[in-house]
Amino acid sequence: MGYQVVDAITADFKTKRGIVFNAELLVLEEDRQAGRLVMLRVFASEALKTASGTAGRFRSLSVVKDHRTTALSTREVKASGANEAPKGNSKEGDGFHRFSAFANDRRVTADRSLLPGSYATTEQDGNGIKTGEEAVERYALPNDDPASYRFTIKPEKDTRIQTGIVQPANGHQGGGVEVIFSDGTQKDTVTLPPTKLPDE
Amino acid sequence: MSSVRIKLDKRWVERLLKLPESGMGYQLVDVEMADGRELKKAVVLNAELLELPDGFGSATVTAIRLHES
Repeated sequence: MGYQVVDAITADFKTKRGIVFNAELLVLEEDRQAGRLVMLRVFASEALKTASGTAGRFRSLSVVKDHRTTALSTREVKASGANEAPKGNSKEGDGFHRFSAFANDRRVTADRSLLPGSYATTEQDGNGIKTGEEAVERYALPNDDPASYRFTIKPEKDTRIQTGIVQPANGHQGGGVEVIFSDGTQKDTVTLPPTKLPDE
Repeated sequence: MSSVRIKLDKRWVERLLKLPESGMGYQLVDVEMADGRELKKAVVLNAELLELPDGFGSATVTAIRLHES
């Protein structure tokens, strides 16, 4: 009661387990094991001072519940990859991003739709990506060329999707949110041309 | 191990575009070559660029299937 176990993705894409007290104070497990939780119990204001120093260091925070993980967003996601997730539906106004090393991404069709079985990420997750190299790391891409072309996708409500977390692969950490458009998206749902991010 | 990229023929591209991705912008595939060699879990980027280990670069592709893990 009064706390949540979370996985925090740090600025350098490392995952750190921790506990959030009262939905606002994060204590990382490594700090707790080092005895710094004692400080919280004895002198809460000092702990809060420390916590405020960590603000902005984290890219995302996911609540761990039993053996399942729920991202702090409107949609539940499991800790496994999207291909193992049950199918769900997009909601009204949902936005997504797709990162590619290619401006002429072949999964984007001439009528500005995505082909069935195409991957993307949520707009929320993708907005944290500032360079093509960051995209390669967060989405564990096998192509080390920077994925600097960002496509924005605005599918219709109730578009079929599967949502999960990118697993470590290809020498990269992963940890980003991944979404599969199982049946693709409707025409005129992909914004062209893509936005070109810096490579590094 | 270094690798080479070969651009796949249009027929393979069209086939791969009908298959789901394995991750954002890529597919993991099993490949058969005309000389009988097989390659498991090769990477295809953007449905058209097949990454092969050195020594496979001149081989002709005769079959591509999505890799099943």
